[in-house]
Amino acid sequence: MSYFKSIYLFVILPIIALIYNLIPKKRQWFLLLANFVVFYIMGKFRLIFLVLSIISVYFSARFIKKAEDKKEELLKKKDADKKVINEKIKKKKKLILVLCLLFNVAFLVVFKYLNFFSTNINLLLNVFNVNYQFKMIHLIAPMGISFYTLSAISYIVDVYNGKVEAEKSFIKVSLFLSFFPQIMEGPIARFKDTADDLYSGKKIEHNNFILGYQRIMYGFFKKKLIVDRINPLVSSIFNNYASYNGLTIFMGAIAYTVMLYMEFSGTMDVVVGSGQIFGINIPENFRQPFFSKNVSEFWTRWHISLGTWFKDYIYYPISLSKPLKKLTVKLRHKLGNHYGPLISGSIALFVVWFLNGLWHGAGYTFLLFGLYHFIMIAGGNFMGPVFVKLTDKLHINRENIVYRVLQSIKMSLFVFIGEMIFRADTVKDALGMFKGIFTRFSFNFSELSIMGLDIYDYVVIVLSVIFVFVISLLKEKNIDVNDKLSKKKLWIRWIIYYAFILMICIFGAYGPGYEPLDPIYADF
Amino acid sequence: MEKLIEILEDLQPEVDYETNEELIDGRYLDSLTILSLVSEIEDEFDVEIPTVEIIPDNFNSAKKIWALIERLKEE
Amino acid sequence: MKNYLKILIFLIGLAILFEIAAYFFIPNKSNLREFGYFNKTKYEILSEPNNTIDVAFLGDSLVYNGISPMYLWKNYGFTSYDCAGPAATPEEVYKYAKVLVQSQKPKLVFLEADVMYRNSKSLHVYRYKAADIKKYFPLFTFHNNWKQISDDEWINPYKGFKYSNKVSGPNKDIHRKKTKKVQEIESSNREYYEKTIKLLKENGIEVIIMENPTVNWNYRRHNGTEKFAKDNDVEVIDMNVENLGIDWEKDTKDTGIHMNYLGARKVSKFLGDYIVNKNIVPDHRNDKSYDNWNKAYELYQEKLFN
Repeated sequence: MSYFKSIYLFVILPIIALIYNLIPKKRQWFLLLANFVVFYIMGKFRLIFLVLSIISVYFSARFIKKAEDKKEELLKKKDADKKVINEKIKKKKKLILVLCLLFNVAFLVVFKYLNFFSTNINLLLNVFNVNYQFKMIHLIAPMGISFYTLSAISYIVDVYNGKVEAEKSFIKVSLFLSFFPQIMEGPIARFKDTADDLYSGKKIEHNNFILGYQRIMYGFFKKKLIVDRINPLVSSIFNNYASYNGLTIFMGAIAYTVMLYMEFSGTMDVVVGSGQIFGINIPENFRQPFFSKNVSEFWTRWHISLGTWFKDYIYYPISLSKPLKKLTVKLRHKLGNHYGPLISGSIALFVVWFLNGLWHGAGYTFLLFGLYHFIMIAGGNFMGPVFVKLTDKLHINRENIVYRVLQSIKMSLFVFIGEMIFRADTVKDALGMFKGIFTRFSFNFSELSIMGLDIYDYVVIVLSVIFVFVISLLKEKNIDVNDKLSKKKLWIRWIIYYAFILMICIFGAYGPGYEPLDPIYADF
Repeated sequence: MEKLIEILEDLQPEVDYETNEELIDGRYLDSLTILSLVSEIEDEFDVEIPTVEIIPDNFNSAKKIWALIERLKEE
Repeated sequence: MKNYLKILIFLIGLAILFEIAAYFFIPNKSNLREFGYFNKTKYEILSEPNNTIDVAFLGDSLVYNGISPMYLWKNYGFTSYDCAGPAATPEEVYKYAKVLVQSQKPKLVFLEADVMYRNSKSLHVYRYKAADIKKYFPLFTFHNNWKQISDDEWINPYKGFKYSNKVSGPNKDIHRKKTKKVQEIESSNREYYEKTIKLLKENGIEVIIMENPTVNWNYRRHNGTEKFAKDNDVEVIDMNVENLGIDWEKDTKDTGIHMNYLGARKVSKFLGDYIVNKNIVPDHRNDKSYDNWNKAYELYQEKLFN
């Protein structure tokens, strides 16, 4: 199931919105029910694991709160030994946290990584001639487990750290972890971002409804005109890369990156739009990533919620852990401000990208994808001051528009290669493609015509990408087209709506002969 | 406060710390600079900044960083 | 209230717009216009010229996923069509059969047995019927014609077939226990199928009951179908017991329920051999008046390259 299904966007979603609005009070109860119903309709009915996650973090948070309360109480006593009490409660809190984390991570590991581990162990056993093989179990992971588990972890860790108050209302925690537009592909929600809005059960405002659907249609446009149309090109190049010239393979990498961006950001348009309808501000997951200066910045503007999650719960806790902090202080005196923290930073960065790769799936291509980005970003950090010096010497203005464009193009080239590794079926294929790009560096125009796309398809894709580019450029200049449009006069808006919808219906890639691409991120 | 600005200017001289209010969100300070900054502040002001406090909200301007230091000193 | 009204008016306007737009996309040279406005997309076969189809396959998703008329055309030279809809009920098959005999004179019609075992009142069926609403807007079916809007002839390269290159096997061993038990066919289902057979026979068409390969099949069904066929004096072929060489892990697209293209080739080959052996269908491959089918095959090949 995908959020792009017409039945979801144009039947289920409006019906939920309508009923939600007709209910006089306690709308949040209905919203919770709707979450579970949509979860059911979406196919994979493994609700029980979501419910277990919700229960575990809710009660763990409450227990931590209780421990805190007890501490206060004990400290009030006259002859209280502060140190002992603090230590004792801290230990207790830690135990609760660790148990809760283990419980939640265990599901993730079982559903996503068990087979990867057993395959590898079996290979090892084979190498050592051990006559035993672990059985492969085919488990279908519960919908959205990669996303809601991270949200659940963020909540319980924040409660542990005192950043978020342990929530009393069970409904509120449930709503936070199960909101149906978010459950499948994120963004990975933080409690303070959405929980209050979700729980408030506000009536739908007409303007929010319009803004929401405008946003949804923009995402729908990306999916129908670009993603589903370009998909055959991508799969034919990746499936038979050996028979294509280097430039065609590289074009495949570009096409895949474009497809992935349109698919994922389009889904986020639908998600954010759906939230907007109910007056819930779901944080943006993309901020025009292709305008970034370097790969490091790119990853702060692409899948933002995953990046900040890793930053908050992995990167800083590691790089600012006691031993690494000491190292940083020491090295700073010797190596200066830039290179001083580089080692601690790189160690943490390595862990982040290792986990980032693993999060996307249990496979060596994903690990290679993580390693690639670690090298690109750590390398960029290492070379950074050198570039600054170089440009200074050559008297290049780093804010110059030409320089900025060149920077973004360079950054994009690195990203294309990264996403190529990401999409490749095996590490061997990824390396083979990489080699192919450089060793067979020629181009044959006829190769483009045998991939199931005709000249019309290319025209539609290119024009649509330009359209998205222009909207993004405006956004980058702080002009929100969605917002601007909603403030226009009714008849102008309607003409634009009608034209836009008709355009999607006519030029969309659907119907006989088109296979809609399954959501990419829902599988992670 | 002056000491703090000195530290900041030492780390990243190209920013006007009196006025800038989006040090993190505007990517004026990257994560490596933050690592330096944290260890320097801890050295200089004899406080310990727990990792949970490392959020844009606490680091987006010199004033905010100062407020954080003051708060941690009290604790 | 005012806002609800606004939305309603907007939607009505949109529906009208869709119908107007559809006018430009519906193929000119076909007999679509003779059959009421909304039928034209419901019964896809109506987009074929009259009396040009030799064999029709009636049924549900097993049919349109498993049988490729273009494959049959290329390898055997007769024309055929998949007249099938998702989760079709016997009543719908009967209606389709009526449209079929009004517009075509096929020699042979295959009926999928799976339809008889459908619970026509289940939620599952209603879900598909709800999706049928889009058939009231021909724009959605014919929108791709913007590419060939200048050509005066519209060629449909699928003939009802639904191509899929997905691979997703059942991930378990398929145990099929033999049994003497017979699965009952619900009386209204049986009634509609009997009516369908009668209608087809009256039009001089030979009827064959078929069972397409699927994991949902079992011997109780097999026995039920055999009995039904015997009662109605029609031939029956069960492709679940015949040796088609189906590799369930590779040839199916959704855990073994439907064939993907690899599976469809095997099913089509089996049916093609079976049909040709009957010696009642002609080979039109060198017939100039069937040139469109050769053109359609070229288009089909292009699409399959995806």
